[in-house]
Amino acid sequence: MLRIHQLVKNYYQQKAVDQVSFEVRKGSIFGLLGPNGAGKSSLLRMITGITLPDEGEVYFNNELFDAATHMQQIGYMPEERGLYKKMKVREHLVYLGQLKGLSKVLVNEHIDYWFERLDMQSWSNKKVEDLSKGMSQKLQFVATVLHKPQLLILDEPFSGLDPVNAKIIKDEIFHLAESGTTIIFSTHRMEQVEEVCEDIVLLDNGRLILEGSVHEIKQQFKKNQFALATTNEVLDLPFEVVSHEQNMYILQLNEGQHSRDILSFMLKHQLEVLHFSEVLPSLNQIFISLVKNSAARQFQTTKAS
Amino acid sequence: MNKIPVIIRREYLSRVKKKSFLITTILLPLGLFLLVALVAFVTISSKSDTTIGVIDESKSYFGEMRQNASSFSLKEVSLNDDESIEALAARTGCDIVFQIFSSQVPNIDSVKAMSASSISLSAQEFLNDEIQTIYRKKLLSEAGIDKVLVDSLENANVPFISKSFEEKETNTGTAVALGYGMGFLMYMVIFIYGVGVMRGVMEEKTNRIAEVIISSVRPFELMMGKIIGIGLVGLTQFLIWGILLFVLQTVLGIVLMPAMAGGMQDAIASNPELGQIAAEENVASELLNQIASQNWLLIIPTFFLYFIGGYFLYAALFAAVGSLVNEDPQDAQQMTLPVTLPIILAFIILASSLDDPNSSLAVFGSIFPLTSPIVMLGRLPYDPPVWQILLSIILLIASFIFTTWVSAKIYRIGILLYGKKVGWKEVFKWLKKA
Repeated sequence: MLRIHQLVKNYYQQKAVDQVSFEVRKGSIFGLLGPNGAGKSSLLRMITGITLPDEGEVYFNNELFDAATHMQQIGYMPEERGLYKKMKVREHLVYLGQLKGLSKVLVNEHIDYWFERLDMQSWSNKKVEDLSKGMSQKLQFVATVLHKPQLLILDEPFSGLDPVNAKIIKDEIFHLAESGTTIIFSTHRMEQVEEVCEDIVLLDNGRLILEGSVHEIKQQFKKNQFALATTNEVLDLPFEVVSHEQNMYILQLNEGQHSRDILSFMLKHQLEVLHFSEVLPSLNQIFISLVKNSAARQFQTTKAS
Repeated sequence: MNKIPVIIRREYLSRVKKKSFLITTILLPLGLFLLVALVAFVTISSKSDTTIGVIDESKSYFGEMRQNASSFSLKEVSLNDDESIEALAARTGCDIVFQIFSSQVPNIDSVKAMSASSISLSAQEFLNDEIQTIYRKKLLSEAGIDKVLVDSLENANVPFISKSFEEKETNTGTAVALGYGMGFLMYMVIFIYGVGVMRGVMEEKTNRIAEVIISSVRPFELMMGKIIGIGLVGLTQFLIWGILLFVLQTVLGIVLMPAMAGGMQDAIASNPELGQIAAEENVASELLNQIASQNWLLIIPTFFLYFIGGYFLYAALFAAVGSLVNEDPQDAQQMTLPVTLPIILAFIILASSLDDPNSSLAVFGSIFPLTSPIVMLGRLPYDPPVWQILLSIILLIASFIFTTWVSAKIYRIGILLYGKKVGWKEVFKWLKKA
């Protein structure tokens, strides 16, 4: 669906994007991660055709990106987004839809669809400046998807949304992905990525430092640790105990040890097993360990929920 | 696909539909006009009800004064024995008593105007003018100069004709008025609508809508859409003003004409000479002749060329400046200076070139593209050489294309830079890179 190849973007002395390549599968929800200032927005601006790359190419449906035709098929919700305050809600949507090349009739049909879906019918004649922040976020989302884009790019879509509205938007994102829309989801909040994305890339300092499916990456970065819960007080486990809280143990398996060894030890000593699972690192942990030495200092860590 | 029309439509409608547009375009001039009309009406229709009583001891002034008194009622009065001036005024119902003493010292008359409060300026002027004129005539005739000769001397006038070598009628007065008018109009248009474009761009940037829009259209399309849209708003405003002016003038004419004509007839009836003068000089038709003598075939199309060229040139520059400014309005002032400076300079050159339209400064100003839309419009009524007009228009078009191109570059980058102060130095770096 979308393939980018060796993209480079320089601002004075600073490489905003440095030889980044990756591919986004059709219909997938793709996470573009990175700390603030990693180059996500610069990358997105090149993908959307707002700016031109200094080097490298963007391929859209296997064709070299051409702003004139492909811009219509992309819906982009930038991180810094706003609306004309003095316009009425419907009027505004019609305008944005027309700019995406829709006819007036078609725009209105799509608006009706989304208004009904998100229960916004009563907003039509409200002025944008009278909307609450959450309402205008919703409006922005509708504006972005109004023209049924093949590729939907959302930069920090949940910032400023309350949990209820975030849930509504999240459900819509899943719904769109199911119906074939490819979605690029850019954020620095890892817990959202784990919930939503299938594939991710991780940017730091303009460079791509990690890519793959969420599942693969977690496998790749797991440390061979297991969580074990038992009712009994276990005194001398023949395994390295990473942490121990009440009756929950996090065990580190070393060279030559297997997970089954833990269970067979428990069975042998007739101990109860309440819970046994492999500990997979959260993306947050992987992320922090990867960017620790660079821009990570500026990065505000957010606990995985 | 070209989306400029969609953008133009929004830019245009969102401004025209605003209440403030309605107010400045229709209500304000209407109110102003009504005010002026009211003042004019009052002035014309209200004859001064000041009554002047004249005590003419020499018996040689009153007759002629009365002929010329159009806005005062004059009556001849005389003092009774032992009557004070105040009592006389009360008896005869005069506001002012004007006393003309007969020659106390031989050949010198003296006058004295008295009233309860101070005499109005117009009354004083009228009395003074009359008395001086009549007195001079009297002296001349006393010196043995024929009265008819004196009268004809009074109206003696050498007709002043200025013509170009090709015997074309030239008139400096109308040329100055026309040149100044067109130059000033251009100056206003550039300032009002250029700044309008800048504010529109700033609004889009601070609103953070710019990035949303330019993910759908090219920045150039957005910029041009805005410039054209606002330009059309300006044209609409001018059109409405033009129509208003025409309609109001017509209405005013219908309402006020009878009053004016009546006043005129009264004046002519009481003073047949005035009618003659009016017929002879026919000031209005003279003025029309002068206006008609202007080379309108040249002026009108070139006016529009400069109008459009000048507006686009500066609107593009203002758009670029707007894209560089962040929330801080002081920034805007600083950044606009390089753009506003040539406009003000142009206006100064305009003023001096009206004095001397062929000075080297005026010629330079009317060819240099940043000043030509204002200065050349000022020179147009003076029939500048064709090669200068052509050169200036070519340069204007070329630089209009150039500034639009440069502005589009600046705009494209500037509009996406948030929270960063940009100096002109950095802008030049972008341009070099681009």
